[in-house]
Amino acid sequence: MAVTDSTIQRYTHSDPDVRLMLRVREDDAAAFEELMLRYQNRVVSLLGHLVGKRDLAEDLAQDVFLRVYRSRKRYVPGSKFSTWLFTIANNVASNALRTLSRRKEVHVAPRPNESGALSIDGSFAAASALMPTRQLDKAELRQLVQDSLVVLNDRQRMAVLLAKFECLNYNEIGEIMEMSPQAIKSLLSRAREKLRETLEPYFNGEAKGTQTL
Amino acid sequence: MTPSSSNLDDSLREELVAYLDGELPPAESEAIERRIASDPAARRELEGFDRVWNALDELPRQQVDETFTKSTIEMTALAAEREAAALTAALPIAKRRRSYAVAMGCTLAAAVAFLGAWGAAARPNRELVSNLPVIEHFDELRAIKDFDFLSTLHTQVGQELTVDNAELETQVADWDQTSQASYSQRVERVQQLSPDQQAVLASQASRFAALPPEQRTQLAELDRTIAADPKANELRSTVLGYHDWLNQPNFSPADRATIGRTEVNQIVRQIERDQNNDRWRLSAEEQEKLREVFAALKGSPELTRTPRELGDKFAELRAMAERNAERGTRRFEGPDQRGELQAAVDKSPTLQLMIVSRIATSNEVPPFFGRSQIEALRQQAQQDWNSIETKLLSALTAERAARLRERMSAEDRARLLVFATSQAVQQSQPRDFADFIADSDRVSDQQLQEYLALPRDQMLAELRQDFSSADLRNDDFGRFLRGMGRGRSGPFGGRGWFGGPGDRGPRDRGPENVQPRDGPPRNGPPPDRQFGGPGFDGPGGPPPPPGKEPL
Repeated sequence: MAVTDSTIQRYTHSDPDVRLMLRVREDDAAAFEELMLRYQNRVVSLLGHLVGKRDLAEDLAQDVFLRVYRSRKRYVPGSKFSTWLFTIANNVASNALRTLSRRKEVHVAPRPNESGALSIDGSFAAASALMPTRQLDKAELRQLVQDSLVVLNDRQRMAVLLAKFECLNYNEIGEIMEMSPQAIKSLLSRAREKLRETLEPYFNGEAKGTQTL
Repeated sequence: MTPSSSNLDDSLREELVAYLDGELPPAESEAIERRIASDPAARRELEGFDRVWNALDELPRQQVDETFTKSTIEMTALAAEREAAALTAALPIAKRRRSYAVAMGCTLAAAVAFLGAWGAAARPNRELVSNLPVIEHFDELRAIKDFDFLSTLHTQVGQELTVDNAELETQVADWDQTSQASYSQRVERVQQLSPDQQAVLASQASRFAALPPEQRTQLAELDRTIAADPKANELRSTVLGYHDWLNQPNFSPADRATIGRTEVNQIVRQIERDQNNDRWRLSAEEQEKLREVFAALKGSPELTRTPRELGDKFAELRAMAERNAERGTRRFEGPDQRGELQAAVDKSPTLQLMIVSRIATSNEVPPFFGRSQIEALRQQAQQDWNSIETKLLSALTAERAARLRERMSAEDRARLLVFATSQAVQQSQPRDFADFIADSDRVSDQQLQEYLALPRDQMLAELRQDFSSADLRNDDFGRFLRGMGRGRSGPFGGRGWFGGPGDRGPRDRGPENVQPRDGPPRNGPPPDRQFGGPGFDGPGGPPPPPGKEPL
């Protein structure tokens, strides 16, 4: 899609990261390092939640930045820099997840049980056994929330993470995931419904033992 | 599923979520607000979405460390390098298309600039971290030709290579730890090194990187094979011990290169021999103590009375010889016709020590003496020697003293102690040394010429030997000593009854006479020149450095 001059100017003016990337395009190593420092934690966090393994997430993040470098000469500021960066991250993550699923190596605990249904045993069982006699403590809540992501499929998880952590709007998420804003709206709605179904019992004291979803 | 959620349709749910996300246009937002005001189920639904969304704030955020940044930048710099290389390769073609060439040239320059900007920043890199166990032990592993070589070394001389080396255990544990460490643990390890250690590691990494790819693979493979072996740590000890042996100061680089080309069994034999010698090598401190102990012994009855009595018996022999000569029945060519031996013995505590020790511990009888004459002296000599030996042993480390007592016969131990003492005494003041050379009574002009004709190191070695035995070097007396040894074969290979530093003069420089002729008894095979060059104690090698005389 052709990007108009006015769009370029708008993003160049409004987004300091776009300006940094334009310097990278001119082979400015310091600008690249600056961009890395700004985004590395965010990219690794995102990929970590997607693939479930810290070391793999770091490897993939390195790949993301390598692709940023390799694409520098073709870079045109048609959107916010973060949108462009997370588009690359989404591609890298999708490829990795495809490979991993072929090798059945995705470990976003807990795993599907044999019946194919997700049985959230681990922390959920532990937490539910305690409910409703007391509130979840911070660590339990964190583990519970982390584990809850497993109920989402890869696309839902990506959309949730981009919306939650990167505060991107539906247009931007759609751009990254190559979907329409309306499709993102549906995707996020279904994702959040799943999360609500999974987590709300623990907040409302409605737990009834191990949850089978 | 909660009752409320089942009652709501998908489109209302989408609207509620979009409302929370601020994605609804104003009119639709207002419609949702009216709905939740009037519909408790919709309101509960909205609150549920909101609560769960807020709970996602609990998801952990990752923090990467500096190493991640550096290694990523290094990877990118590597990509830039490859880009530059690819562009360089493309240049001849580009020349045919001039405008293209100009554009490529600019990109190339930019890529090179990128490299330059990052060159220094990127350490430690992935390559270093993944090969850390190999790079940290680069020199040690390089000395090992292959796993079979290591296995042979380990089986044959693993014990010898690692004995008495307390540091090895720590080093091996360290190696094992690095080997098993995760990527991030290795990164942490590298970061915790001191700047000096990091510099060493960086240098080893660059040497590793400079190897041809197949050699790098071989080294990494060797390390993996060692790590996978059930005796991994024992093998690592052997690797480290072998490296230490190879890097002993008296090997020249040429020696090491020769050893590198030598067949493993030959190396094994050399190690066995070296370790045998090393076992008796005294420290400078021990030598110093030995000198002190011996200085205190000088003139004491335990050291002097047996030699003196032996001297008396010589005097009797001399008197008998004179009587025989007068009678003209037989010309007696016996020893010490002019009393020189006795004078020499009186003057030389080292010789006194030899005499006491030999009479006390050996069953041999010196020439010209009857067994009964010597037996009469023996009991007293044994008593004196026991006392002297205890004192001499006290100069050594407790460990060495215990080993000498446990592993050697009294006779061998006596010879070693006498030898060690005489060697220690030889390390005495240079001033005495100079006086010795200047003293024309002790060093004749001819001898001086012989000294001066020698290479410097050899001259000093010869002087050191001769200085300590100068008292014994009198021609008649030398002949006497050699006469005493003739035809006898003691435990040390027929060197004479007083075999030791004494029976040696500047003119006695046959090939069999090169140091360490007076070395310790050898349990291993005789010295042979296996690798050539200095450092090995075969013919032609210089004496061990002062303070490190083999004991």
